[in-house]
Parts: sequence; structure tokens; C-alpha cells
Amino acid sequence: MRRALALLLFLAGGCALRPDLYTAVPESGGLRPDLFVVLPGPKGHVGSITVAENETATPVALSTALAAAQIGRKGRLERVPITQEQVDEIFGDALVGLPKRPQHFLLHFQEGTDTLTEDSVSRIPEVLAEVKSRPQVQVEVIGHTDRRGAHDMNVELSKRRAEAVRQLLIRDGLPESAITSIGRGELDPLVPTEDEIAEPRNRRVEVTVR
Amino acid sequence: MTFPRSIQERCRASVLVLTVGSVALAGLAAGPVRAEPAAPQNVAVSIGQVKTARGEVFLLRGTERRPLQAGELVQEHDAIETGPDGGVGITFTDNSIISAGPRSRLSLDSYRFDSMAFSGSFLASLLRGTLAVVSGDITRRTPGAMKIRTPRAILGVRGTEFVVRTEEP
Repeated sequence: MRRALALLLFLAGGCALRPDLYTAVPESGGLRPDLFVVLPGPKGHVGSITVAENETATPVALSTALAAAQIGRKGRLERVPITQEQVDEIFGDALVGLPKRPQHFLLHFQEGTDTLTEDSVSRIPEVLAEVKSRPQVQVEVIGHTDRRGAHDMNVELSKRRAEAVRQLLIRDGLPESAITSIGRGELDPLVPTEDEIAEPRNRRVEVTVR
Repeated sequence: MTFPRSIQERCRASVLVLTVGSVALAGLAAGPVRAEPAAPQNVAVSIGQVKTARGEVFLLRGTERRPLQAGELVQEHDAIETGPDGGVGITFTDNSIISAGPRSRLSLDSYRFDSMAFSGSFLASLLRGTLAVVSGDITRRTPGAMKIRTPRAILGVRGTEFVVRTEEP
């Protein structure tokens, strides 16, 4: 018993001399190879991730800007402080290679037609500029209608709207192979309405430039 | 009952010849039917496009390993490797974007995205190196439906921006 106590005291003394043996926080800059960090978004929005050692382990939630975790020396997950400078140093190469974020545009149409509203005509140059700014570009065009009129007619109309935008892009030099275009009729209104209601905001084409 | 070894081998050889033969026949039969030669077969199954590539970047698809360039399309089950000065950025059909830094290996294990319902799932593995991610519509509709594995951890992505580093075990 006395020997056990002596051993315990000896071990505790050893720990006091070697802080890294019992503290979860490593010395400054001593981040471990397995590292997970949540970053703030461009508009200050912060998301969240969960990290676990395996499917059955209790996950650690990281949900504030620069919240970080690493796999410690003993293979256990632990939270760790990290600075923006450390993130830039470790992840700079990965971050610089991130593709430009996809950009969305909404173009509106006159009722029952595939003719753009004046307002949307004036936005076309912005769409074309975005397309041209990307060396490897893909564009997705999705046509929609409001709920006025028969369902089948609206499917046709939404396809004609998408096609009108597709033709605009092709005329501007975008290869057909870079465009996907579909019409969804009245199935996916931006503003939910009763059937047979005319709603200008639903008469639209969604353009995603990626 | 076991056949003598030589017979087994001969059987296997003839099966092989038969297989090669039928592939060749199928090729001949398919040849004249196809009107446009360079129909992009990838389009149907492509899940994303390489937007940025620098230094050494390799695509591993099945048994194939070849340099990967910006503009190319990637598929489910592809793996991507970068060299000491390499880096690659990919935009996926759900509008998520990822980028791997130097000395990295990433595999795109499974990817489902229904652009009508905005639902799906995305599992990728980072086996070594660094990865930056901005999640897209899959996690917007279903937080947690994107997962990243490393040799020692599994990440559930609720959104949106994060970075991961790991090394081989």
C-alpha cells in the first residue's frame, strides 16, 4: 500500500514536470496532423460540423468560427484553439484552389409568354458577364410558371422560357454542351399560391452559373 | 473432385478468349450504329467538374490513373491525388465546392443528388493531405447528409465552410 502511494506520488511528480502528458491543449503551434476547423462564411455566416472517432463515438460539435478539434496523441478527439494565421498557413494552398462560388440569377417573364420582363432584360448583361468570368463554366437553366392555366400548358411554357434563356447564352458564345436546360411547369413555385392564381414572381427562369 | 491443374487453366484460358471475343464483337456491332462518335458519355453520370488544377493532379478511375485537368468531369467512385505542388478544385452538381491541397488523396465514395427535390447524400474520404469545403444544396436540405471520412475520424456536415487535414495511418 505504501509502495503504491509512493508510485502514485512519483507519477504525479513526473506529470508536473511534463505538462503535455495530461493537458489536452498542446504547446503553441503544436497542432496534430488530424485537424478539423470550421471557418466563417463570406457573409459572416458560420455553419457547423460534427466530428467523431467512428460511427458509434459521441460526436464533437464545432459550430463557431475557428472552432477546431484534432486527434490527440492518444488517438482521442479533443478541442483545440487555432488562429486565422495558423489556418492560412496550414490550409492556404487548399483554400486558394477553391472554385468560385456558384452564382444564382432569377429572370422574370411576361404573363403567359416566353418574353422577359423589361427589368430582367436589363439584368442579362450581368448574367453574361458572370458566365464569361469563369474559364470552366457550366450553366443550369430551369424554367417555371405560375399556377394560372392547365398544368401541361405550363410545362410547355416553362420549357419555352428556359429555351429562350438558353438561346441568349448560346448567342453570346456559350457552347451548348455547357448548358443544361429544363422546364418544371408550375410544380415548384417560388411563392406558394392556390391553383389558378397569377403570380409574377413565379413566372421565372432560375439560372445557376457554376 | 478436382481437375488436373492444366485442365483448369485451359478452361480459364478459353473463358478469357470467349470474353475478349464477345467484347470485340460487341464493339464491332456498336461501332456503325453510333452516329456521333464523341457523345460525352460522362455527362449522365458526372457529379462535378474540375474548375481549378495546378501542379500534379491525377485521376484514379477503376484501374486507370492519369493526369486530371481543369474542365474535366468527375464521377462517383473517382479518386483524386495531388503531388507536392499540386492542388485541385471541384464544383459539384449540388453547388458544393471543394479543394484539395498538395500531397492529398481524396476519394468520392458515393454521391446522390436529386436536383428536383434538392435532396441527396455525399460521402467522400480524405486519406491524406488537406481539404477545404463549402457545402451545397445537399446539406441545405438535409443537414448531416454530407460526410467526410479520414483514416481516424468521420465528419458530419451541417454546413457550410470548413477545412480538414489528415495523414495516412
